[in-house]
Amino acid sequence: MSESSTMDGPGGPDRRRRLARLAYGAFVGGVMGFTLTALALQWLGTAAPATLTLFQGIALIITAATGAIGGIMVAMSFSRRLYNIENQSDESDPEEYGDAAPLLRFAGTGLLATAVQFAALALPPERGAGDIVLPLIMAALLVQLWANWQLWQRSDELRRAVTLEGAAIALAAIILIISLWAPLAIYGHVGFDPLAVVIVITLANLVPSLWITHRRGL
Amino acid sequence: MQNQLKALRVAKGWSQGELARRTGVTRQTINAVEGDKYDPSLPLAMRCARLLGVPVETLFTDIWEPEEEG
Repeated sequence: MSESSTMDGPGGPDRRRRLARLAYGAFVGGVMGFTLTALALQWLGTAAPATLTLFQGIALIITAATGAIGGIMVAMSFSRRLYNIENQSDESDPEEYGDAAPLLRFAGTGLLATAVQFAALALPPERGAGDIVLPLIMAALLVQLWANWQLWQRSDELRRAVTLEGAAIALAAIILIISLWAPLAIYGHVGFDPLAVVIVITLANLVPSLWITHRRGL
Repeated sequence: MQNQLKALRVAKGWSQGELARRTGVTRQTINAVEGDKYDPSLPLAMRCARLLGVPVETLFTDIWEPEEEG
C-alpha cells in the first residue's frame, strides 16, 4: 500500500483529493479529446463519422486519446502549478518538479507524435495527399523514437523496469495476435488491413504500459 | 517482499525525496519500494541499507524458507 493511501479512509481528505484530481483530469482530457476529434474530423473534410471505416474511426479515437494525454503531460512539464494540482501528495518534494518536468515533456511529446501519426493514418488514402502525409508520418515516427530515447536516458530503475515489463508483454501480445491473424487472413477468414496492423501494435504497446505504470504506482 | 524502509527512513528524519536524492533515484521509486509495489535492484537495496545503517536482510525480508531435505 502506498504511503499516501495509508491516510486514506472513506471520505478522508486523501480520497477526496484523489477524486478531485480524477475529476479535473477527466474534464481537461475530455475537453481536449473532444476538441482534437472535432478538429480531426474537420481536417478530414467530413462531419459524418459513418463515412469512415471502422479502423479509421479507431485511429481517430487513438488520435484524440494520445493527443489529450500528451497535451496534458507537456502542459504540466511547463507549468509547476498544473503539475502540483495533479501530483500533490504528503511526500511531494519542492524539487521534484525539476526532475519530473523533462520526463513529462518527452513522454508527452512522444504521445503527441503518436497523435499526429494516427491522424495522418486516418486520412482516407484517396483523399490524402501522399506527398504531405507520408513525410508527416515519417517525421512523427522519428520524433517518437527521439522522445523515447531521451526518456530512457533520463529514467531511473523503476521507470526502466516499467518500460521493459510493458515491452515484454507487448511483444508477446503482438506475436500471438499477428500469428493468429496471418493464417486466418491467408485462408480468407478475415481481412488484413495495414491500418489495423498499426492499431493492434500500438494498442498492444499502450494498454500494458499504462496498466503496469499504474500497478507500479507511477 | 516486505521491507522496513519507511520506518527506518522516518526514524532517520528523511523525506522520501531526501532518500531518493541520496540513492540517485526518483521519489516515486522510493514510494513504490515502500509501498511494496516494486522490488528494488540489488545495488539500490544495498545503498538504502548502507545509508540507513542496517544490513540488507533487516531492511528487506523474504518469507521464503528452503524445503527440508529428507
